[in-house]
Amino acid sequence: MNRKIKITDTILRDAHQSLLATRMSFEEMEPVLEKLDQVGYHSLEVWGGATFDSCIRFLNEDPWIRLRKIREKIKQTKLQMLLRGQNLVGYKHYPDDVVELFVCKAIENGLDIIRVFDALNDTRNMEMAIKVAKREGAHVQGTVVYTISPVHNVQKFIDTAKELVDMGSDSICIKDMAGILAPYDAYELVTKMKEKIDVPIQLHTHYTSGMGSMTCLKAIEAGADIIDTAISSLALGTSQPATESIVAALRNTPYDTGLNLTLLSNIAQHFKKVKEKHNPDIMLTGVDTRVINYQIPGGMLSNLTSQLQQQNALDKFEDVIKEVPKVREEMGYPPLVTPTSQIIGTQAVLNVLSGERYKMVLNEIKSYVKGFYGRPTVPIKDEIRKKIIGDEEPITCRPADLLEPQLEKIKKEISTYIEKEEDLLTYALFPQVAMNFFQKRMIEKYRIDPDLLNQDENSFSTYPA
Amino acid sequence: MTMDKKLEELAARRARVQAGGGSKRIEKQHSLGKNTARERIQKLLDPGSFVEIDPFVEHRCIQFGMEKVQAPGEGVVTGYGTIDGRLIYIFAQDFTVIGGSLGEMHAAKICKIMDMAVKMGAPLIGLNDSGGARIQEGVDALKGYGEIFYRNTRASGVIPQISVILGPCAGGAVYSPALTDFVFMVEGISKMFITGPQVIKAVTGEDVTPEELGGAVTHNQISGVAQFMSPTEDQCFAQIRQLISHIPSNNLEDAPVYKTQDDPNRTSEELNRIVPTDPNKPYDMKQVIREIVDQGQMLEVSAHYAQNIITAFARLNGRSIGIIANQPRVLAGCLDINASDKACRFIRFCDAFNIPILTISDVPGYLPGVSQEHGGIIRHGAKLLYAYSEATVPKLTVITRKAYGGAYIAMCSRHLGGDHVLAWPTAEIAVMGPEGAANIIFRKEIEESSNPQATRQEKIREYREQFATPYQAAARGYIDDVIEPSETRPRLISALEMLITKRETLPSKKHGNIPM
Repeated sequence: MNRKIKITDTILRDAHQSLLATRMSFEEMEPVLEKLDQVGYHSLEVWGGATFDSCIRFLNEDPWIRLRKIREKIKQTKLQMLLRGQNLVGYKHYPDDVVELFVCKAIENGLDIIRVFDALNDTRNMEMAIKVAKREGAHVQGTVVYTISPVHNVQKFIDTAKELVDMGSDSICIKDMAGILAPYDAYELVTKMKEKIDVPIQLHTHYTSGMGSMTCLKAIEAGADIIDTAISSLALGTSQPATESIVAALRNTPYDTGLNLTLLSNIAQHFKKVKEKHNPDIMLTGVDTRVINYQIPGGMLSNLTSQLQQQNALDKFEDVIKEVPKVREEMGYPPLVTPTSQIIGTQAVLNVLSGERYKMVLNEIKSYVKGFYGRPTVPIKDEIRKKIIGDEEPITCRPADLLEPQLEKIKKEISTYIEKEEDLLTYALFPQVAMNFFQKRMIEKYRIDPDLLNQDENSFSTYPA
Repeated sequence: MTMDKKLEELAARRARVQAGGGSKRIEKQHSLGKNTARERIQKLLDPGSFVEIDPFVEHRCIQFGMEKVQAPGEGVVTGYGTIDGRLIYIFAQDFTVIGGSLGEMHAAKICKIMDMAVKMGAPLIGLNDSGGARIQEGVDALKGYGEIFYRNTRASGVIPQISVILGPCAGGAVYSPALTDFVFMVEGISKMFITGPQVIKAVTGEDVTPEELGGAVTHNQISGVAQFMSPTEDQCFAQIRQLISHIPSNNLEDAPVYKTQDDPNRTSEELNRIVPTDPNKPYDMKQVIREIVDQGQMLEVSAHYAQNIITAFARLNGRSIGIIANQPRVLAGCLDINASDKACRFIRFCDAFNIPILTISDVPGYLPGVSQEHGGIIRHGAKLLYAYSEATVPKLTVITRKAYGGAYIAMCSRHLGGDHVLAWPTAEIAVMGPEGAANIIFRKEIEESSNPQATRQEKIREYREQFATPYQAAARGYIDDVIEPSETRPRLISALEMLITKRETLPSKKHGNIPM
């Protein structure tokens, strides 16, 4: 029986997010977009995750315009994004009106598939995004975040997947952001999941521990329909398995992807040059089995390193790496993925550097314990909760139910800068960074130097003519 | 209304104007190390000499709700007064009143003063401190700038025009100062640029602070836009007063002559020893100048720009002169684009205002380099020839050492109309340096010699002794005399007195076409 495996290439999103700190610019993508379209992928992951933030923060690029430009060049292949549920592409919960408009605009600007996940596998945090994406006619991929802990097991993941299918997911993604899903575990998980759900199953893994391709292969044998890979020049390490390797491995088997290897290696040449320009950290491209012990996703490892570097405390790296699982346990075993990875990681750094655990507590940790991020996998122990939020009671409702609509207010706040409806969203997500971005855009567009402009409501406006 | 009431009203109105933008804005101005417009005028002019004109002028803008906006004095204080008893016209933009911004009537006040300065033949000093144009006034503001530029240009060469940048001066506003004769700047306070740092960043990606882009140091050192800089406003005003003492009030007058204690017959033994025997060793040309001029005092113009050439005002026996001198200490005194530019503009100022020119020459040639050639050293160097040739004021030249090739010609040689050309015995007036000349002329002898190396040295020495001297040029009368360096001062003063009645007119023409 022939069962053609479909491929999603992450080269334009997760691959460079994992290896190049998300710094690939549209300019660097543009020359090969049409070629990528000819490969015959199931889809291309091109948007979401950290790319949105990076665009406005580091690249002076409008992420919405990037999406439009990609869509203009990639006409046949489906485009997909990674959406952090109610967190969208940011690091906190946004009100429903923001989520609704964001999802609408993402689809309107060209996306076909929305992969929705929640760091805590709390489906309430994905509800709104899934509902809107369905309504707008997109393919919704519900995501089960994979992690290892004493409280996680196959059944738990399948339960989450079933919930997501019931909510309307058109497919399910098993998201192994840390690269810790072992090949035979993957086989078991996919086999059992296949038995319980009818929609296609896609596997997203990272190569961090060096098991990625093996895991993919076992998942394929177990019945996975779609596999995430990255063009070889930005594959492996903390990125995905290499597209070409998977394509070659499956050639002339019942799973043959049918993709053209020559065209792929041609594209790889381009991204090789891009990679060389960015001079990636070689640490991120090797095999690191520590992730199996600590379950720290690739991006988080480099984040911790840079945090420690800034504090001149790189010698504490090992201590922090050991502290992370402790904090995680105390927080009720959340999977480590944005934003929990950042929150747990930063708290671990604080615990090590301040010399006393929870002497300093991150605001985000407080919010987390209060339930504002959703339900932890297992309840947090009372003593820990008390240490962090005292006698305050955690919430039990869907966190976003507590958030006031925001868009009307934002409309007034940024009226001077707004040029398209999407700007409201950019600002809602990252107010400060967006403001800088808008100001820069205004300077570029209207050539007015705000430092030289004097504007007083009741007087002449003066500016060098 | 009774007379008393009328007087009361007048006093009240005047007080309102004199209060400028009010105490809060004045405080802010002070906190930035800046004086107000009125304080600046008081400090710069002779005490009590300032008379204000047009205090009651008001703007006429009724668009965009501006009819209700009050701008006491229209953001600029204008009038006349004196420096050392000599009439001066002055305007000072008042940053405390709507940012000293320029509108139609603000410009009209300035234009009125400019017209008077030209009619009466007195220097104009503009103190610039303005946030730019009033956008609501639209083309009326632009018209204001245009009319000022037009008057700057028309007054050029008729009255001395001095611009003092005492705050922001950006966009088109920079062109009025640029059209005037001298621009003064104060470190940390003055900013001049066409396009602000943020727009530059957006367009070219270049990161630059306002100070780096257009501060006093930048324009005095790098761009050459400004000629003078000082650390404080007070020092700046002192500099301006000093400059005024060197220049006449208009093109029909001579600069004032001051009595000097310095003996016109004073000789300087020091000059006999100042030129090193090694022709490649530098010495400080400023020391030469100080030995020659009254009391060793000079006022350098563009002191920080193109330092391979010195331009300065000084006096000989009380008479103002403009000095252009090569500086062997910098780039060996070579002429380059910037040096040509700097000297040319200075020569033309001196010529326009009847200030005799003294050129002191020690120049090995033009600076070699692709950037020089591609930058147009041909065109810029030509300006120097042009300016010297065109100048009709008395032109004195002293050649202290090197005067090679085209650069010799350029540095006010007899051939460009030098009226009195003197050389020191150390002068080497030749088509090129001895090494080069000997290698060309004696090429055959060197080639055929059994010991080419020795022959080359021999021939160079021969050439140096015979030709790298002032006497070949003196033999042709290209220089008027070879003098003992110590006698330079008395000889120059004598020559200046001799030339003071010089009368030379150029052929009647609209104007020449200087290679800009």
